[in-house]
Amino acid sequence: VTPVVTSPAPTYLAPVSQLTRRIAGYGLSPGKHGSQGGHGDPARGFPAEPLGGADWNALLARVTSQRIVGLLAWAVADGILPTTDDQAEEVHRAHVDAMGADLVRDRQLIDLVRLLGNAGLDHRALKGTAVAHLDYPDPALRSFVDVDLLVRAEEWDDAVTVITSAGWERRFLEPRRGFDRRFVKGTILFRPDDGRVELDLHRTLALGPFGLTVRLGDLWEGCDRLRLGGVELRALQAEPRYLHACFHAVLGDVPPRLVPLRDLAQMSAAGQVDFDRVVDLARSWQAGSVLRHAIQLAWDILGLDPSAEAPTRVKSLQPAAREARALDAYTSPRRSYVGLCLATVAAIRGPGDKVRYLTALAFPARHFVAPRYRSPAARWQAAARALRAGRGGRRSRG
Amino acid sequence: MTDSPPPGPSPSGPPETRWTRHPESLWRATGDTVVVLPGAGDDPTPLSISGSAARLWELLAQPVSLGELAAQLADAYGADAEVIAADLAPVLEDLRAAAAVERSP
Repeated sequence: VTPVVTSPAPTYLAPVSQLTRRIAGYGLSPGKHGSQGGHGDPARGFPAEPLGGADWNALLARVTSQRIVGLLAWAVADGILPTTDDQAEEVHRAHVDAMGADLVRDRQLIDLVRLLGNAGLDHRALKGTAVAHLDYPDPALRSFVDVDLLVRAEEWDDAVTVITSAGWERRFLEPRRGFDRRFVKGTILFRPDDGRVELDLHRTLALGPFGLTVRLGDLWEGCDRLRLGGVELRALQAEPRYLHACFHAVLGDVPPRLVPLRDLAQMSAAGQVDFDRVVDLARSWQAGSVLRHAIQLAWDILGLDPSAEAPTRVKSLQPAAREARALDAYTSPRRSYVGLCLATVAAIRGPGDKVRYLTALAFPARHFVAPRYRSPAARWQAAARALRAGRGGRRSRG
Repeated sequence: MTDSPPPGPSPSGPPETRWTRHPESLWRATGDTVVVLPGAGDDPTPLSISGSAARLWELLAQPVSLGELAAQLADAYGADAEVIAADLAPVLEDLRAAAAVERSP
């Protein structure tokens, strides 16, 4: 959305994008580690009068697409963001819709956990439901669009079989048998009879090189528990959950979404995260660059107190050059699937697995190519274009 | 007018019916609105309940009789408990039919 300035004499001149960021950072209270929030005045950066129609529509559209309607509703209820009666009603309706959709996803997660449990398979609930219930003061503040579930790598094939037997379908099949279990972040599944919910079934926490350097055993050491709809759900412990929010913030969408940045600030403010353990995990996962970049982004974009513990702690991190290169594969404007695949090769241990990875991608089974490309030739052309773009970028930097 | 038991506990006779949220119901709240996804059934459509019904949902966190519910809501809204009990009875039955609440015995 392009920032809108009404004319003549707008009551609120700051771009809508800045106000959206203020909403994303709204209500962060001081934790035991000191102030994590803004600079003392919760009304800083908010307009004194209700926005005009064009600004308001742009704000509501942006807030909805960023999935922070709950935070907007909170700011409106507190009177920090003045609204007309109609605007307040619009926010309320949008929030009720978002909460209803979140509940449907909660229910799907519960059903899936029950399904896996009945088959003797373990799980960790990731992101949406887990973070909403464990890290926010009220789950109504945290919306999400899909169901995220982690299963053990050694149980991957069994989990996929159980879930597909229950009516879910994979969006894409694996390029070669056994590829997913070794190399991928996970797979997307959906229910043909109900297009409302998508399942992101994870084996690790990110696609590409950082997904491969996560020590998967750390994800299964203990868990945080929550009880929902009569079923016990297991989530990652606070520190791996924090690092996963870092991954989500900087290895996912470009530009980053506001929700994972808020998650980081929220977890930091809650004071339940042991930063020594977070740093230790980041080092052992070779993800110090991700941790530092994610916190810097969260604090910059949400306008948080730079003297808080999280940004102070990560300043001293000195990630290795290979971590910086790996991060560049995700955050560069030249980011591409092929570029990430090449960066992944560098992170794969052992020549045998490197060959297996490259062979599967270079010569995938027909069922892998068909849904993605018009023909095998189109696939090679796309790869060649991505490689040329990557080489051109490197040359121009040099 | 729907028949309903009088407010208050029954000192004798069969055990009083008590109402509570269905243990599999999921819900979120904002202001005086509660969005509930019922615990069972084929229709996964969330229900939105507002105003006094939202207060009713709070009270249903623990098993409670119709009389107790009516008394609490009468206090909160300054209305007659018997009138409230008469209004509540069909609401509770509707919520039960949707599997949002359950009753025992």
